[in-house]
Amino acid sequence: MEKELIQRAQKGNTIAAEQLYARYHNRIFSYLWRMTQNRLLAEDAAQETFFKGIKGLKNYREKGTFKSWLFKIAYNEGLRILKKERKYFWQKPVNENDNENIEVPWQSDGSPMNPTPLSDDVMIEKEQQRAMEAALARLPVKERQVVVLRIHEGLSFQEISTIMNCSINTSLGRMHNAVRRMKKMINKGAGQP
Amino acid sequence: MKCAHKQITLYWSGELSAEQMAKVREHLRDCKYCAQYLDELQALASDIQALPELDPGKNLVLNAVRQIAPEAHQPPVRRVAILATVTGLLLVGIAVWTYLPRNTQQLRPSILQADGRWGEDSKEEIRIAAVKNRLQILKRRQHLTFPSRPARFPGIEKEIHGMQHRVSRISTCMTERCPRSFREILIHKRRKG
Ligand SMILES: [Zn+2]
Repeated sequence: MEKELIQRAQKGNTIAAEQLYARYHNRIFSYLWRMTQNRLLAEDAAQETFFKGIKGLKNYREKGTFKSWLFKIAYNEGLRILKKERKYFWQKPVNENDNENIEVPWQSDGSPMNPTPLSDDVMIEKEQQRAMEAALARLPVKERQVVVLRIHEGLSFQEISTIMNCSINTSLGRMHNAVRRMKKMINKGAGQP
Repeated sequence: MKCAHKQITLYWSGELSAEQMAKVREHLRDCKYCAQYLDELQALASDIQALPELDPGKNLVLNAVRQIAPEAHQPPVRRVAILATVTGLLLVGIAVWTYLPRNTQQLRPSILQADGRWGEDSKEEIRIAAVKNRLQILKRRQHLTFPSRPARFPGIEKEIHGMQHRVSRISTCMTERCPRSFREILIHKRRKG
């Protein structure tokens, strides 16, 4: 099904391209949101990813999966936009003890708010998610990429190494460091208000 | 097998051969350190997997398709074939247009749907969409930058200035649509000082 869409899109069928990329719409946005930690930058990077994805589709050969091909574009786009934006934004260096200014998705504007009061369980779950999101945000950007790509996107370390243009050992090392760092932060209660 | 977090990570990730997996399993039986690392990996994975996928609330794929449309709508076909197809489509089009004008409008690819118009206007349409898109990016930057730090960004301002010229040139024939987004920027800028 996806293969067929890819082939049609490669022949210049924009409707097929639209359908193909619509499948990755929210995932690419989420990925870039977690990478840039900023909703608007993530939007820009995601749109640019789809733009390049559609334009460059004719260069896609079935060497790896389409998904990892697309995520490689997204990764490069995210890095590019972060670099570019540093010229305009004064970016605070990552500080493990700083809880402020960490944007959390379900609090950011534009996301639908739940009109009914939340039960205690849901509140606790949301709070846990917020803490996780905050801890994740404080990881160095490349470690965070490995964690998100492996766990959230289900890509293999082999694929991650290709996406991030590094050795598989480097990816594995980043994962190990990330696990230790996350554990430390969660134990310290980082991300708690 | 000696302690090796990389092996444990690959084991957890399911990227080892059966033989290697057996070795790791054996090691895990005796080594508390590695068993604990595996636990941590699994715990982290379940926490991260629980994080929500985010919705940007707008169709970024469609925006990207709109940027590309002119080329994407021309699949590489021979001229004779194009001529034959165009003639055929024209006849069919006239017939359909005569009998089912509303349905054909719905059938048009999203890219040219903006006003339901083809031909001369669509080029302007696409250019305006691209300009609008750029304006939006600039607008966002202003919005993100000024509230927290009322500083000057000569680069952006210069860029906006250039955009203003381009937009006003284009908007002479499309007065209603383009200037609005620019006006929004100005209003916003004035408010923020
Ligand atoms: Zn061990």
